[in-house]
Parts: sequence; structure tokens; C-alpha cells
Amino acid sequence: MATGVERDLRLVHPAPRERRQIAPNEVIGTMFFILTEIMLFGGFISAFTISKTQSGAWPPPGQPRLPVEFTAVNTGLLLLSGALVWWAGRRLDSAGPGSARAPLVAGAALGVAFVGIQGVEWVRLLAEGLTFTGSTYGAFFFLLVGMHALHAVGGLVVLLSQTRAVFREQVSPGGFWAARLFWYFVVLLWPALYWKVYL
Amino acid sequence: MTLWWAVSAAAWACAVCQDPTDVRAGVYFDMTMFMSALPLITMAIGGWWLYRRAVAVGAV
Repeated sequence: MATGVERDLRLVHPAPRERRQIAPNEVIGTMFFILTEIMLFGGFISAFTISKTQSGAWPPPGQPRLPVEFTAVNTGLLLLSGALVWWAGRRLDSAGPGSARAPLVAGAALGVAFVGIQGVEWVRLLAEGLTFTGSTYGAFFFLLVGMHALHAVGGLVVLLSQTRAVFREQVSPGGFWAARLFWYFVVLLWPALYWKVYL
Repeated sequence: MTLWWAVSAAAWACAVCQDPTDVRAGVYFDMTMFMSALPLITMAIGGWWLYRRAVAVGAV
């Protein structure tokens, strides 16, 4: 039974409210990072759109044409990768790490395939004369697509490290969630870039 | 010029919006609106998501 002094103390200093974490720190940090990245790509897209309008003919005469159909297929691979990683997250939450392995490996493999195919496309375009310093067209192509590829590689490194953790059954929910979140950003950004740059 | 209705009359004095060609002026204006709206939209979506998470875990 509380004494009179204890009762008085409770009135003066009520028990602090229980603090509840609304999302893991990794997820909140990744979310803010993605917000800044959206602004970065927004700026690039804005600059690209204005430059394209100023140039008159786009693509400029004499410049190689971008492989629209080939990249459309590659876009499909990346979207499928995002869907598989999303599914892996659902499986991990509902049935544990064992059931998330297959979709996660398939999703990461498709991501690696996307980056590899982009690399092949770049080599071909460079051989055809599209370079970073050769023209505004080439500069914007390599800037926009290159920055996305850089993010895709970063996302894949994190995704593959999480895949390793899933196989070892040492996955941290916050880390896996953050890796997925960043991968969704990479996947969902690409169709917007494809539409602006290729079409 | 899809967002022309959102701008005040004073803003039309802007040199960018007075570009000689309508197409260029339209693109400049649309990109200005896009870059102005983008941070507001992304922060609103982030804030809404955090609020929904807070409600889901009973923090509010």
C-alpha cells in the first residue's frame, strides 16, 4: 500500500508515457535518404526536360538511337525483381526466413541481370559514339541512367548482404525492411527514367 | 502549361515564363511547378506514412 508521501510524488511526477517505436531506425533513416534522392533525380529530370526542349531536334542528328525495345524488356526484369523482393518480404513476415530464400535469390538475380544488361547496352552505345562528353544528349543519358545504375548497384549490395543474412537465419527485421525499401525506390524510379529518356 | 491556373498574375512577369516560344515557356513553368511541388508531396507522403505507423502501433 502506497504511503502518503508516495501518493504525493505520483501526483507531482506522473509515470512517463511508454515510448513506442513506430518503425526501426534503419527504416526511418532509409526513408529520409530516399526523400533526398527523389529530389536529386527530380532535379536531373527537370534539367533534362528543359535541355531537351531547348535543343529542337531530340535525339540530335547524328547521335545513336537508344534501344527502346531492348530496354523495355530489361525494365520488365527489374519490375519482376521488385515484385519478387516484395513477395520475399511477405514470406519472411508470415513464414520465416526459410520460405523467403527462393524469391529473394530470384529477385536479387534479376537485379544483377538488369545491371549487367545495362552495362552491355552502354558498351554498345559507347562504341556507336554516344559519350558523356560528346554531346548534351550523351551527357544527360549517362548522367540519368548512370546515377540510376549506381543506385541499383548499391541496392544490390545491400540486398545481397540481406540475402546472406536470410540464409544464415541472422536477418534483422529492420535491416531487411530498409533494404527492401531502397530496392523499391530503385525499381519504381526506373520506369519514370525510361519514359523520360528513352521514349 | 497544364498548371497555368495555379500562378498569380505577378509571376507571369518572370523572364523564364516570358520565353519567346510558348512551348519552352510552358516547359520552364511546368518544371518550376514540378520542383516546387516535389518536396511538399514527398514530405506529405512520408509524414502520412509515419502517422499511419504511429496509429498502427498505438503511439498516438
